[in-house]
Amino acid sequence: MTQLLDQVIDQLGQVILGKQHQLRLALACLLARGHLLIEDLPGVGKTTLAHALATVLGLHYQRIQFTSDLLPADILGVSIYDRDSGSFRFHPGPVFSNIVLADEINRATPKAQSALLEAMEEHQVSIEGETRPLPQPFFVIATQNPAHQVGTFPLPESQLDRFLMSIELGYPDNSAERQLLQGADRRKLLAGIEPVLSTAQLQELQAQVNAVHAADALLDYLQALLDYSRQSPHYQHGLSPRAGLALLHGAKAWSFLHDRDMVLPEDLQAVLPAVIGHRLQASNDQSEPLSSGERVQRMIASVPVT
Amino acid sequence: MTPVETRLTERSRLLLLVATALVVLPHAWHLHAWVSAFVLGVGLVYLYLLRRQRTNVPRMVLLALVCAGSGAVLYQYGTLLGRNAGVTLLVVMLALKLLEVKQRRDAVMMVFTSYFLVITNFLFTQTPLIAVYMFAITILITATLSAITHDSPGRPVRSHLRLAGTLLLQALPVMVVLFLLFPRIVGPLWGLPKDAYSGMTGLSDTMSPGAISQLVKSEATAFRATFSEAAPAPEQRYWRGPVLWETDGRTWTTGGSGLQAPLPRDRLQPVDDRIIQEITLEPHNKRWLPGLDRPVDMSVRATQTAGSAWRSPQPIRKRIRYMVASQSGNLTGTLNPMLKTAALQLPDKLSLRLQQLAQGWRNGASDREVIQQALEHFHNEAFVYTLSPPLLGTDPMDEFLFETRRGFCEHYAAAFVLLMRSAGIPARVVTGYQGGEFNTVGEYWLVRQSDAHAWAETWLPDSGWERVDPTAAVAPERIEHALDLSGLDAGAPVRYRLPGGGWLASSWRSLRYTLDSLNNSWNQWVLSYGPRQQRELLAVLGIKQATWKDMVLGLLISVSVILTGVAGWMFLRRPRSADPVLHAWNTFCQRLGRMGMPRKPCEGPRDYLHRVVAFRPDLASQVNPITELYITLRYATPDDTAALLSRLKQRVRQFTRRVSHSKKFS
Repeated sequence: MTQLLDQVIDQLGQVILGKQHQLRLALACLLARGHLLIEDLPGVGKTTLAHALATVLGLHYQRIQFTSDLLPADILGVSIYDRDSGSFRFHPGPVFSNIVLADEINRATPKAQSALLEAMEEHQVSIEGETRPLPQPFFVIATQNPAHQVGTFPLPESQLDRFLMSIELGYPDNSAERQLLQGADRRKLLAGIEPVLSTAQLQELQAQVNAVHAADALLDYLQALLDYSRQSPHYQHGLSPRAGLALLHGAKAWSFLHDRDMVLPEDLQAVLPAVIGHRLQASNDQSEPLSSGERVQRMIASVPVT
Repeated sequence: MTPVETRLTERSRLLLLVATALVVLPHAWHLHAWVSAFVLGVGLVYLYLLRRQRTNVPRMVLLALVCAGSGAVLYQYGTLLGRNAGVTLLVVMLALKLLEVKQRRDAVMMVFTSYFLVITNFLFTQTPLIAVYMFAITILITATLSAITHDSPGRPVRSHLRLAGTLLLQALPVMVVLFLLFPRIVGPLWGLPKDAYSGMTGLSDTMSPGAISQLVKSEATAFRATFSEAAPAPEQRYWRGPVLWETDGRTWTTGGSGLQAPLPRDRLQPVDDRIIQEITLEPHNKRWLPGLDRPVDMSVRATQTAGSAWRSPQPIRKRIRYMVASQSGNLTGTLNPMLKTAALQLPDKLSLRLQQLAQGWRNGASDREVIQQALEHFHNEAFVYTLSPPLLGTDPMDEFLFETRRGFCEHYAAAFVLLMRSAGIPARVVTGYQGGEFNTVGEYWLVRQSDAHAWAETWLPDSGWERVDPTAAVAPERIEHALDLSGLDAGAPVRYRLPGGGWLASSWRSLRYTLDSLNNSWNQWVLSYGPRQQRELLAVLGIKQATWKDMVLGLLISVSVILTGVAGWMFLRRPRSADPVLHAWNTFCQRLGRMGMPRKPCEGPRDYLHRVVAFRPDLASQVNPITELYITLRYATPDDTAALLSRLKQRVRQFTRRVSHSKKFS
């Protein structure tokens, strides 16, 4: 099975150059049945990554470009009167697919955002009094521009919490950039990607991830991390239990990706920045707030592995 | 380096206020009321600012307050120095500093000032109660310090308090050693500034009607005494104080310097065994030293006056302890002419009625018969023994004897001595204490100011000075029981404190005994611990003739031993990994650490492995399997834990041995 995953990484690596770590994180996030938030400047390949992921996993994929005039119905779907049958007929919106790419999610109003976010949590949508289940598996890959850019509605903390991971792609390094500039058009490359996994295989992999063993010693370490976040003066709030679960699932997926059947402290440390970076806010009464990376690094450095 | 956080949380500001209030609180008793009002006002302003989330007070307002505070101190005391003025200034400035606290640095300064201000309590009172209070406050201040430096919203105040308590408890052994072994200077632990001695109560060197009846209203302790053998009977428990010779009809004084001179010892002819007592005298700012009547020898430097009272060379300004040898019966030999003159001195204006009364008794009778008649006169006539006698006019003794007939012991003693002198019998007034209460808990006698008493002594040719207590003739119960000071109506007869009563009374009594006994032990073992006691202790420990250098050395050694002990204990207490897997892994990591590759605490096993192998590829064959075994045992679910564990242990053992072996030959 893990050969399949290596193939997935290979395929993705052809399109997104020099971002092996982020690709693995993104894949781990999906294997852990979590939603993914990609946060970075425009033009570093967020959309390409989302598109490539959907294709390579062989999933049905829809994209919603979030704009400030986007309405919930544009996401969820709408009932339209059908003259032929004389009744209302529901036209499902783009959310009814396996992978939803919510592009520039922070450009939409909170109302539109929350329509999607509710679907993410419940895996179902309620439209006009009727509850409709979403297809399985269901992932949301959202991209957003840094909040300080013009015309954005930052996602509130409660909604950020629903993304299992938040990753940044960052600029490519020198050689990757050169390769990019010399290489073929990304769109063409995307079209060339073959699906590696079937839906059944993906669900099988997800089940295996869940079965990865987390020993007591590891849970001790995880709890020590959570405790630290709650006691330390550097954070506004400690990590929630949901964040703890997210860490554990993320770490399980990460160790599974690395062909292990038990979680090691290193796995936790590897997924920690992506899982808690968007969940931990720097405390207000600090004179010099720590950056997201510093917050995480401080936590790792402060909690001993026993 | 992380940036140092210098702002204060609201909670630590509140804690600072509470600590300051409690530090200042005991001073409210001995400083002027305006100081308390000032501190209260500043505290309220601070609280108001805190509620309004404001912390800065305009500089000019602060300046004005500082000027007002110092001005008030200067106006009150005329100086900024000395005990009262200094402490007041400190209290005022500490309160004002509250308004200026902006940063952690200010708060830390307040905390240190508070530590100092707590100590100044000892300049006023040194009771064990205040010591306990000070200890508690010190914990609170330390907790405040902890909150100032390490506060976080999630951390309960309790945890700061626990930290402070633990710190102070850990410091306790060091404190005890420092207390016992730090070289002592001669003098009390707490030398008081000069203005501390006003307001001390005790018998004075003069006596006028009403003086003693005022004094006995005080429940304060005069002294405590223990007898080396059985205590004498109540009617023998007279404690001798100043002896008064001279009178102007109203006031009695100790008389001229000749009467203060030492009495030649050879005149004393003891007739019975000595009674040895140890007396712990409370400071009274006078020079006399009490002792059981009649004291013949003292263990401290003192002189015996002609009246057999003892005087110290300096006023008693600190609590002292001394031994007294007393003999109840003394033949004092012939009366020398100077004493005889003094013992017969009469005021210039003496009432005729008084003289006639005395001479009426004389009428050819012997001295003893005259004394007997005088006592009978007091007993038979309608004399009342009262704590609140009516005021007396220009000729007090005449008025007392023939009109009011209500008086306290000083009236009876003075009138009796005047009557004796008028009848030609040498007599003098003796003041002191009578009785005392036995503390069954501490097994000592407690003598209070309320036991103050005055009696008379007459000189008889065959036996010398003999004690006569006219009060006993009027109110024999006084000699048996202590006074009951409750309910003092003007002119009412004295009531006595009688033993018995319900269980409430008896438990109240035993509580009082326990408290006083505690106080006494505190005085003896803590406050009066001086160079002598230190020498004795060192002698018990086998060190004789210790110089201060020896003591400092001993001190350093003891403190080092304690600290080493604490360090050792902490080391041993360090959680020994009960888990054998973890133990083997830690041994392995320590071994690698000694080779210059310590595991970072936050480093997982696999990361560590990679680092070690990158650094020392030659060790890979040994380090790899150990790490893999450890990971399997600790993070996976192996089938045969026991076999893997023994393999891990064996590998680790081999590794440590081989590495040290190869090291030897490398």
